[in-house]
Amino acid sequence: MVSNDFSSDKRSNRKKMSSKIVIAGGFGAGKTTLVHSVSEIPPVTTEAIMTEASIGHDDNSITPDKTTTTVAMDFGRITIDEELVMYMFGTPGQARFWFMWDDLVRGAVGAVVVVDCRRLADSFDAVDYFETNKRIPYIVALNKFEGHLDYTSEQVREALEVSPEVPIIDFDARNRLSGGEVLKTLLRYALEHNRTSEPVA
Amino acid sequence: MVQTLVSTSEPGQDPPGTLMPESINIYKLCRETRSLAEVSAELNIPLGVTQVLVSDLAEQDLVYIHPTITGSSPSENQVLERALRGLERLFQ
Repeated sequence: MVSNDFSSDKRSNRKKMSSKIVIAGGFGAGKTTLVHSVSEIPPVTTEAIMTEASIGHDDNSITPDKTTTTVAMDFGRITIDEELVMYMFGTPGQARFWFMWDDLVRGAVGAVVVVDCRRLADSFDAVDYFETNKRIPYIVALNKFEGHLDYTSEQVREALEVSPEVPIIDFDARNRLSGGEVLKTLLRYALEHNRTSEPVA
Repeated sequence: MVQTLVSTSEPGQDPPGTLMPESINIYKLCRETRSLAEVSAELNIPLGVTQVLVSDLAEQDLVYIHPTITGSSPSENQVLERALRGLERLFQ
């Protein structure tokens, strides 16, 4: 119900809500390209200061074994309607930033693992993360570099140990409609997932 | 969370003079609804710091924190379906 008088402006504004999708994958797999092609705004980079345990500082036992790192991540936005906004967050691809996924993944509707078929091994950790955590539904999107894929989706499923129910689709990260298809597939799967899964305490 | 939308509670009013400069900037920026990630990027304040400043403002009722849809409860399926229909409209 839309009302035009000014007093209701604030209240109608308060109906706005947001959701988020996480875009994961190996370094250079096409995460930022995907965010770029589907976002209504140019992707924005923000920085998060994160704490991580430092490794291999054997020369100094006095300092605490924590270091802070500044991590950049890209995000884009899609306005679904006047009340619903969806954000897409690209996770940092480098292995040493995986510790921040927990923060990013919390509260997400779902995740997309973007896979570069020429470097399957680079995506293993991302797939492993979502397979192990099972907290949010995820799909695998095979980025077609130069228009072709080196493996079938079933070969990729076997190689990356992706669960049988997880959708694997191929797409072109540079193409807006193709990227949109990936997001639609994720939402359809998330809905199906919600209907079939037992409520978790 | 990074996607959480924030709005200034009384956009027509000036920010209280007792606020820190960063909080004043957030107050002014959120006269138009924005996500935490956008506030952080536009004001060049790290996400974690933005989160703390915004929750301080919310505690004083100076900003309003909007609900987020996580899709984790079946009651949210209606919103997810709306999002899917929206994507089907936008990417066809």
